[in-house]
Amino acid sequence: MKGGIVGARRSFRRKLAAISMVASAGGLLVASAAFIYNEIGTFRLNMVRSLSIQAQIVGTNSVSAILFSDAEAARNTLKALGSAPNVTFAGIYTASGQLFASYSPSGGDSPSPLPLLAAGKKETWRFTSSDVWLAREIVFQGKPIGFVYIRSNLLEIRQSLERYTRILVVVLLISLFVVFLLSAFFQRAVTRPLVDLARTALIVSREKQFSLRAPPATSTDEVGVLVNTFNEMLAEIQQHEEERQKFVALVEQTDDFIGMIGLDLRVMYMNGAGRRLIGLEPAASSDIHIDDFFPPAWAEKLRDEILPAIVRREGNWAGEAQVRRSNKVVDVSMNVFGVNHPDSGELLCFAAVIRDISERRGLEEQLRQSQKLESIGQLAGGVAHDFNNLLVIISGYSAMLLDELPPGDRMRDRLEEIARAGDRAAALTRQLLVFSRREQVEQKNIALNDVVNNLQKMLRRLIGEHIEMVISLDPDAGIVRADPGQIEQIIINLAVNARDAMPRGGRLLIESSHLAADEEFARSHLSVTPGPYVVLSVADTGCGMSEEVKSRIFEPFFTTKGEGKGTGLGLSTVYGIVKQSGGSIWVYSEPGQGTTFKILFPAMEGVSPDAAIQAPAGELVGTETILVAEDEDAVRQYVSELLMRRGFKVLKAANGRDALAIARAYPGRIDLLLTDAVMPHVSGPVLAEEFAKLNPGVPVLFMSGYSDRLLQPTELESSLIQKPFTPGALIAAVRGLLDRKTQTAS
Amino acid sequence: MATACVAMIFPAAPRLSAESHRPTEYQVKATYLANFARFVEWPPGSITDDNPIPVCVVGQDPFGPALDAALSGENVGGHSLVPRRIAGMREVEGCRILFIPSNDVQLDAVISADRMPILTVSDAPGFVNRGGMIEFVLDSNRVRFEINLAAARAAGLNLSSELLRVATAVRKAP
Repeated sequence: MKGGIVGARRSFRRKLAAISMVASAGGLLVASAAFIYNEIGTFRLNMVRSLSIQAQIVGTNSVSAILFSDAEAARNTLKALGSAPNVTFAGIYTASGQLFASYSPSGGDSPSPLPLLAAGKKETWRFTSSDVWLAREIVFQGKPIGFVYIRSNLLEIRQSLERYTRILVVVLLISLFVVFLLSAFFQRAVTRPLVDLARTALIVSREKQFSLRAPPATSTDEVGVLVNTFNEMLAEIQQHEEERQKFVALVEQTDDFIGMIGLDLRVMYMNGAGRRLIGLEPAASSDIHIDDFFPPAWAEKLRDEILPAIVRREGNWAGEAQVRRSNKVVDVSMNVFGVNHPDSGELLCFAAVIRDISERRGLEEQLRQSQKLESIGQLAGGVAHDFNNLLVIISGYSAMLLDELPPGDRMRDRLEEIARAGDRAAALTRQLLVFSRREQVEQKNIALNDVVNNLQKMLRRLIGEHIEMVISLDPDAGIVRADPGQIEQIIINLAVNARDAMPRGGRLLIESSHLAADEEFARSHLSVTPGPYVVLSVADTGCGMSEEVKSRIFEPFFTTKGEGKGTGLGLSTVYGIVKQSGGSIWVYSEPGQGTTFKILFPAMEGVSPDAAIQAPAGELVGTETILVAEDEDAVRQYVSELLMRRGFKVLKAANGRDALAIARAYPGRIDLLLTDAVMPHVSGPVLAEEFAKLNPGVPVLFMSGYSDRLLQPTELESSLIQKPFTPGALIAAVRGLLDRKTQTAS
Repeated sequence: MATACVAMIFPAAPRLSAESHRPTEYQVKATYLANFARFVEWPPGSITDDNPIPVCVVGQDPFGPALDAALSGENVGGHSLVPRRIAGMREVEGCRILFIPSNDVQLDAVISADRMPILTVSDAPGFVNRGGMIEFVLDSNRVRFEINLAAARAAGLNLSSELLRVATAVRKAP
């Protein structure tokens, strides 16, 4: 991550350092070359001058030697040149050009051909590649008498050149080092803003942190302009970004579906509320088509009417529509419009703003229902109250007349009919008063579970054996404040309705549970405030009901049952009781899907039930062994429990076959067979017959929900108990058969 | 190499040097006589302005035309050199250089002609020891000379150190 910046900086700095060093080195080289060139020129000049002086000295000192042909003296003079180490040859020549004397420390040769002086010149010299020579005329008293020739090698120049080169190299290296240090020091001023700028640019582009700024440049050069312009640009981008984020936040945080739909009808953009509305996972691919979240009818309408109209510039569309969330249809209000290019006006895409109005619709419906029932209740209550007063008169005077009539009067029957009708009317008005909550009730803290438990037996009797009843009680369901009798009435009324909805059998589920209603729940449920609730739920698997029926079920005298089969006041009563208890009732039903009633009672926290409602304790009434055959699990359990509590030993069989198997296998004595009359495979009577072959004389007790004429009379010691029965009735019947047997035996 | 291209011209080709053959003994001695004039300083007044310096040969002349050739064109300090042949010492007046041949009978007289500003030169052996100033000697066939500096000084002549340097011997005491 950092590699890029460091690398960039290095490269930039290196380039800069390289440039300054190359420039410095170049400058130094040129300067040095000029210097050396000049030095060499000077050196050559000095060399020539030195040779000239030497030639003059030699010449002056050789005059007499030449004039008197004293070569020895001349040689001695020449030997003085031994102090000039670079002289390779020196010669004195006579005016005629003959070598007079020579000096040659290293055996140098006399020049050939002899260099002669140009006309009018006293001295001449020349550099060759390897040496330099100088010839100078010897003049004595105005008369040329010969010349001196001195040749010197260029070793000294070469050595100087080498020395200069060495110095140059050292100077160059030192200079470059100094330049490097200086440039390293000074380049910071140049490179730091650029390096900072590059780093900032990198971070900005990588992390989109538009709030970053490059350290402001203090200089006003191009780098400064660059940095400051970059910062201004960043500020502008940041401003745009903030603006953009504001819009994104606006769009993303609204509860309305906001989406853009491409001309290919694919979703280009959809905000979070949109995804929630159509039930799209936040991480799910957004490559979706309008067909994916509009019901077919609406997708078609969009494709064929709404969107083409927008394309034709015939206007936008607004109204109520529907979208799909998984498999459910959600009512929405929808606004569809075209998004045009701000400049060219070209249609870019479509946009839709969609608001979920299903909750509002539901609440509206709830409110409407509640208001309707409220007004009906007021009406009914008012009528019932006045009507009750009238009934008091009717019943009162009927009773008075009956008292005054002598017994056996033929008017008596008719009067009694009037009195009975008055009583029935009184019962009706009482129910109406319950519905309209005009009845005085005594509310107690009661455990809902206890009420349900106590009702179990009666409920089973009530619903019949073709319906499976399942009771599921949450031990923590809680305490409600209500009239226990009224709660019982709610449960009975709902159970009866459920039974009537399942003429061909089914399942009744009675549940209790606890619910902590939150804001969300309260918002969508009218008259529910957040808090703890005890929930009673009664669900059947019956025929269910239509929306229309559902909207009217709590109305008094509304019934779907046949003429004379129901009063039409059952659910109205339930409604009245629930309202009186401060609760609310919710019905969920669809035709063919069964019906579920949920009743929410405010839970009483931190209280215990006022009166423990308990099953009456029974006394031990027997120790005999009883074989119980019953295909309905709940009934079998109930009956077995009942018997065992009273001390009986119970063998349980789920059907006739099992019962016979147990009868054969059981090693001990079986004192009584208690069997359901109607069972699959082996019916009660058949079982009884087979059982009698194994255990002759053992009595049989049939349980039946049907009339006794269904049973074939047998010669067995048998009896029949009609379902539903009370625990007492069952025990009495069992005890009766056992005792009769005992008496017969003794 | 570079020198090969240079025109080989020597501006003042002297006649002596131009001779191709080796010069004779007396040609050398004649040249030396002329050259001596360049290294001798006569007392003031002994050489007057614009007058030539006479170079005299006493007695029998061994040089012949060589002396005239050697002196011709020579110029010493603005004075030309002229040869003068004299018979005896009586005619020595005016001479500034006097050559005495070795066989000359007047040698002793010459030597005795002391105190006169005349440079005496001879090739007579022992000349220097006997009071002469410059004596030609032959050294392995080369003409050299010895000098009696004391004699020269006694005559008021000043000999250049240059001349002394090339002399084979210099006698400083009288």
